[in-house]
Amino acid sequence: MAHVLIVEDDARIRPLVMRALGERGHAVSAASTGMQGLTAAVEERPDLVVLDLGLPDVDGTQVLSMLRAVSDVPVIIASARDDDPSLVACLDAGADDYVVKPYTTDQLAARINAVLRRVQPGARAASPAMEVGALRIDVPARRAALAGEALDLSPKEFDLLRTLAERVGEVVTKKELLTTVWQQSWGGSDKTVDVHLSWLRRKLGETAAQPRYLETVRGVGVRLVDPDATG
Amino acid sequence: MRARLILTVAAAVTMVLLAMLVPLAVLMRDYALEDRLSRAALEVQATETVVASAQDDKGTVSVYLDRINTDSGIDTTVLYPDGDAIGPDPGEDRRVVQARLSGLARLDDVGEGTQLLIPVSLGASSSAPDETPVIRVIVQRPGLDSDLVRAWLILLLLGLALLGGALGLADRIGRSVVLPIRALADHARMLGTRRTESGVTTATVAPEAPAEVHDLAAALNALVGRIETLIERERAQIADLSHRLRTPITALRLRIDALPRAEDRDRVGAELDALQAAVDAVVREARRSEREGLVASCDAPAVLAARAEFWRALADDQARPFDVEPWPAGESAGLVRAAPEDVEAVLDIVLDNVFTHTPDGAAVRISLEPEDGGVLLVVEDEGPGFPSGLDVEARGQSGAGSTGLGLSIVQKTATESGGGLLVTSSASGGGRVEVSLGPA
Repeated sequence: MAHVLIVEDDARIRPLVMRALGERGHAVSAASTGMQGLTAAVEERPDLVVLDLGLPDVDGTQVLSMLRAVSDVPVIIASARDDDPSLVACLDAGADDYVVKPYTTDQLAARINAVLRRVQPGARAASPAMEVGALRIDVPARRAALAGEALDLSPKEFDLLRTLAERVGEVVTKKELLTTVWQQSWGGSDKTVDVHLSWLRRKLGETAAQPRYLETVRGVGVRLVDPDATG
Repeated sequence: MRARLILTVAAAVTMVLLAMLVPLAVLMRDYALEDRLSRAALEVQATETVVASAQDDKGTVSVYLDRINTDSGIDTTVLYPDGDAIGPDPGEDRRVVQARLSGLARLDDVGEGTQLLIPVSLGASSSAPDETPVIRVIVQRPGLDSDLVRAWLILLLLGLALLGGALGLADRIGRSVVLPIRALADHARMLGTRRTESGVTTATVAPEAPAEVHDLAAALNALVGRIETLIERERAQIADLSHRLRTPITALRLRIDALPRAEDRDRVGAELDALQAAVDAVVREARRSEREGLVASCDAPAVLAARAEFWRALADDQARPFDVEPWPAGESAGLVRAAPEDVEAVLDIVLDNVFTHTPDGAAVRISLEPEDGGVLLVVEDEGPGFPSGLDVEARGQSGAGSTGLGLSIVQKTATESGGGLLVTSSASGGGRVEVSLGPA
């Protein structure tokens, strides 16, 4: 499995994350300050870094910028900041994904696996686009196309499609989608997912009554399928 | 202010002009009359000489009088005792007879002006008083075509010109004061409608504006700076609050994930979900002033119409008739005292309730109407309606008698905007939610 570096100043969270990821088979190391994290990222050459933004010595966004100057290691931001400007600034600065506190162990592990699947160490640009039938999803470029026609998707619609495409054929529950796409498994409404799925269906040229790519499994969730696949 | 300044100057200048021009006009009239009387006296002397030297040669007198009786406002007539009269208005009256008999000149006011009667001695001692011709000179009061009236007209025009000039000057002074103040007011209004981070907040005043307006702008800038500092401090405090609350919850969640028994994880996890939902609501509420900027304001009909269209996709998927009655054409923009994000959240919460608690296919009707300068949003559905005893203010509950945090957030947004929330039943027995948003 992968070597994950945790840069987290909170002494309660750090060992819990280390243990949880260790139990999932990852080799985990940790740093409690930004500068220690930067040094470890350069010296230990981890496969992925989980970076907190609220660090005691240097702000996490600055650590990210410094890290990007010397390394293309995948970075997942783990922060209590959930406002759009912070999120966009981190993604623009080179973060690969973003998880908002409080996250669950499963959520963090799923994001680490998804990023590791997408990003090959040392060959980030070569990561292939996902294809499901005539649907093509280029994650690094955040673009999607259906039969060669570009789809005009909102950021949330793209994340929804990407999340479903990462698990083609699997039923993904609405709670999972709320957790992964909206960063909230609590207090979020299923209808938030439903209305975005409806827009995604429209843009994929289908309806709930006549689905092609998006199949709703009533009471369970939704799955992305290749409509042209046999069997 | 500009109108008041102009009105004040108009009143003051008019009074000054009246105080100056009326006495001047009276003086001019008196002078003109005096001038005519002086000329009349000269004409009387000349006529007396002509009449005395002509004796009975009335033709010479007639030629002379024809020459002097031009359109000068002075009419000279020679009245002979035999009844002959040379000149205008030949009739005699009691005064002429008295002057002839007494041999004394007299001055009388008559209808058209002043009348001078001068008996003329012909030189012969045998001449009886009743044989004495009388020269009558009538000095007419100046008429509409006289030089005096023209002078008065010039005075009037001069007065009007002075008044116009004074008003123009007052208007210019007023503009130089009012326009910078108005620009400052527009700037202050703009501060209320724009987010502080999206635009310039410093008020600038034209250099030629009065010093007091510059002072006002400086005071406004200081006030805006102070408010921005407070908002920035609040933003930092909220970020800190979010961090302080969410970090221990993260640790707790990770500990729950590490619990060995699934039922313990689910039970404690569900309680933590409720706690997290409450914390999110607290953080969201604390961010209200950050969202709103200096003053909350948005075009609610535009925001709500766009948001309703966003929900239409789900309505179509659920085969729900979804009727959106737009803002009446011709109505001005419905600016309300709430941030666009909060207005969006109002419709999201209401429609979320409708889509969650009514079956697929149940119709939804949304209407937007003007109300007391604000906007009335009405959402009706054909579902089973609200449970009896619904308490929209109940927080943190989600049983049959409460909608949890949802409608309480709607009510808070509505009441803080100056409006309110009313939950009733629609004509079909379904739910009817009226959200009144107060004007900005």
